[in-house]
Amino acid sequence: MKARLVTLSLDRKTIALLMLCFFSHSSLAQQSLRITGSDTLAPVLTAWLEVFKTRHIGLRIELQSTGSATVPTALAEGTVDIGAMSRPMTSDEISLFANRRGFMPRAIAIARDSLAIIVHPSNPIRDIALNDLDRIFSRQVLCSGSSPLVNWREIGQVDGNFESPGSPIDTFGRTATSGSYGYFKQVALCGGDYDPSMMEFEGFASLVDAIANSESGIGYTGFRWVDQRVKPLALRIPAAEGATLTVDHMHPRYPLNRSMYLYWVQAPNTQLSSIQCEFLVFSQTAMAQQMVVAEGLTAITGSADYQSRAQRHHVICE
Amino acid sequence: MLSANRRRARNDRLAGFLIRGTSLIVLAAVAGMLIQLIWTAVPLFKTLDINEISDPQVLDGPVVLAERSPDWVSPDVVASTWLEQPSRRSWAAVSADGRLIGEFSERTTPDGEWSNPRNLPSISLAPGSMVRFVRTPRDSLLTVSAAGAYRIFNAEGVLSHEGTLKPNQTWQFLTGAGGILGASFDSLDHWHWVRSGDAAYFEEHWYLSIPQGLKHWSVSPEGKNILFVDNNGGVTLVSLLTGEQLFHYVQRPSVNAVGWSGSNSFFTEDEHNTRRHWALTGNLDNIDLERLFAPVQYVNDAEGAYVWQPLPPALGQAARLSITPLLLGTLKASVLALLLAVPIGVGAAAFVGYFMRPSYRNRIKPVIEMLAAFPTVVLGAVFALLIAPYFLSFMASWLGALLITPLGIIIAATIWRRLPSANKLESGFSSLPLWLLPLGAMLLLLGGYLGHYVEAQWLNGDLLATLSLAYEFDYQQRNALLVGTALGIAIIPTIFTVAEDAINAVPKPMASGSLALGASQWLSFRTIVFPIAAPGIFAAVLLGFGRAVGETMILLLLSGNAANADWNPLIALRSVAATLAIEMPDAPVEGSHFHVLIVAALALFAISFIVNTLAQLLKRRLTKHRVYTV
Repeated sequence: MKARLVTLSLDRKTIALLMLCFFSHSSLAQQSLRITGSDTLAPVLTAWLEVFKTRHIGLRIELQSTGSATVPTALAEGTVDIGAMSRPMTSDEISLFANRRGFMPRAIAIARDSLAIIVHPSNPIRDIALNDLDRIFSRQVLCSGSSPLVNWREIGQVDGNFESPGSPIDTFGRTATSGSYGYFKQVALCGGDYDPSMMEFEGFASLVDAIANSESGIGYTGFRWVDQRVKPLALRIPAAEGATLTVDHMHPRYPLNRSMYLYWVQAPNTQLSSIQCEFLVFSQTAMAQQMVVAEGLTAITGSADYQSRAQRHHVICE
Repeated sequence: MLSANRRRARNDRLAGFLIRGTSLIVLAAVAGMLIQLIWTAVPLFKTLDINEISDPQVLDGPVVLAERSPDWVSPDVVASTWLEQPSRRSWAAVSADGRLIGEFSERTTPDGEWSNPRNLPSISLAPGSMVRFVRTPRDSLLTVSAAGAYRIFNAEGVLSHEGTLKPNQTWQFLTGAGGILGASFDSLDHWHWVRSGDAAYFEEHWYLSIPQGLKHWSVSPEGKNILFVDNNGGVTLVSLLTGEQLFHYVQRPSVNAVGWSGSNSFFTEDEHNTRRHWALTGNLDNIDLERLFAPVQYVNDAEGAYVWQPLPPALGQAARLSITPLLLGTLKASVLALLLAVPIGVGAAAFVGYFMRPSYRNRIKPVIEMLAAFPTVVLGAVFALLIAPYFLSFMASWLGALLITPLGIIIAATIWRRLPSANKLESGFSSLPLWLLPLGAMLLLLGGYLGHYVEAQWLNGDLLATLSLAYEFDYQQRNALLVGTALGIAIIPTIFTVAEDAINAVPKPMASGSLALGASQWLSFRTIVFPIAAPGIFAAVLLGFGRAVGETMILLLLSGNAANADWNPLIALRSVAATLAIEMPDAPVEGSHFHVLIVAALALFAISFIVNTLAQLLKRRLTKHRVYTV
């Protein structure tokens, strides 16, 4: 017999078939799984559940995309089993949950989405301080309380290492309805206002195109839209003892990396229902992560930490 | 015969009624739309009111976001504050002997293990100090003493700022970017973190004197409003964001305490500890005409500004809903478009309507009218892709052409006039394009080249960079001039068609009469035809303006949508129509944002309605005029 190599393109049907072989024990009839949360994660969850359904025949699934902000209350009130959030819970939300239930919510990272800071390729700078982003994009400059930066020359002075173009800085961003607009505002501007001179675009593609044609431009965009016509910048962030650390988006401490999470309710020293547990374990599999990438997000690096399925099961469900 | 005539007359009358009725229906529909818009916008300006909730089971307690600390915070300390981020976390508290204590730790991967907790340096604080992690400045520890001295440390305990608030108050930290609330026995005041130049400090945002004496107060869950009770039993609602009193009433028996049970419901507790629950109805966001049109000093602002940033409303922040920049943007784009379109459109209309041979006119008119039907979204997309990136780099050539072409034509006309030519009169104006078009093209090229040459020789090869350095003005890739050009091109056909109709409608015998008396063609146009057609031409301009004001797609794609309140034609703008297109689908229907968008839509509606009505009235006057003079 000759061994034949079959290349399988991993479309959803194939993944489903593989899943079917993967979990080969009995199906759990008449169970239900209620998931609610983030709009950003909705396509990923839909894809996952399509596969998950084929394994658990008879499983009743409710998926609602009501936004990340609705998750803490829904979990605290017990109206959902799993809440999907495109950001970690804030301390206020954790307090809200803990006051209601008496213990902390549990969470696992399932995907990552990074914002890139991009400039024109002819721009000589390679990296920029996180607080300088605030000074460029914000009219209030709340993070550092320094004066705003309006000309590339000033950044040249800050760095002291290049002959800058000396032209005014043009800022490019998304319109307010985009999630990235709010995320960048919270993380990079400390919640302050954008400068009214920021040009707002309806989509990332047109934003990248505008920066590719603007030598004095700077803007933020999702990493999947970055191409060779623009240059992503590394970020300088404060590190211990007053030093700075230069990080790119692959670095775990890149500040514009947002992890997305599944949150669930589990009182200390109790077992999770098997269907919830199966789904959480599934989110960490290589297949599930491939589907994350297919939906345009970044796979989590942490999934390699869980060596075997048994170990994963142990970490998540008990 | 007679009966047939009578029948026809009756039918005519009936048809007349029908037509009049139909136009009335159209008018009613427009008026209905207006009323509907006003009706939708009215809740924005409704004053606050309260209703007692008789069945408060749903609200059995206040929403308390109490500081329940996570397990990594030392359980031995009270009143601790903590900060958790993907790769760093720390907590801090004031110890029993008045020192700042706490620890911080880091981890290398966002989902990995926390390692090496390190202690904050132990710092002795002034008596009665409180401590809180704040977001502004980034991840800092703010401490305030009873005497009102504040010190700000970074997350590792290094002092970064210090200063003093007013003495003799009790202090309360507010959530988000909300600042500090100070309360004394007869006043409330709000302090916010502002920057001025390179310095940042806490500044008094507003001060409210309460002569009746302050008994108890409570901040709303969103950190936007404060309820307080005075010693006379008066309950007052104050906007945290402006310090304005929103609502006041007196309750008997005298109220001792107030608290919030939701974002728009609260309870009062009287001296017998009886709780009564109240619901607030009306506009809690405190939006009035002043906030829509005048500069507003928001929290963290050193001075007032026009800001349009409605989303997302964070804790302790008001939505920035100033529609002045939007109206200004619309106006700026429309005026620039008119500056381009009126000379070209009216000039072409005059030539085609009066000077051109009618056979040519019949051929060229449909072509230009077809241009009026060109989809503006295509025009916008073409401009965004092909012209926007290079618009600024050709600015010198563009300005050169704009300057040289009219100048060159005037010089050429002067020379033409001096030429002793026998057949000048015969060829007249209708053969003008034969000479003028090549001349114009040549002048455009020459002007463009001259502009480029001047730029390269004396302006370092970059007109705008050199001038902006010398005269300190801004310019952006997406700018009002670019929008004005595209918008101007879009409205030229409208202006042309209507103006041409007006000029062509002037009875020919009038011009012929003056020509017969020896006037030149130009003189008879200038003194006879133009004055008669003027109202129609003005109507054409107004129609063009109306179209520019309502245009959406070109502005959405080209304008950069930056809501600045600035007349500079070289920077981006945001128009009302584009804002409606972008934000309307995402604005919750009951929220202030939606209502303000409706107000903006109403303003747009009013502008186009007035302008179009004016245009129609003028057109009608023109028609009457014609009947009268013939």
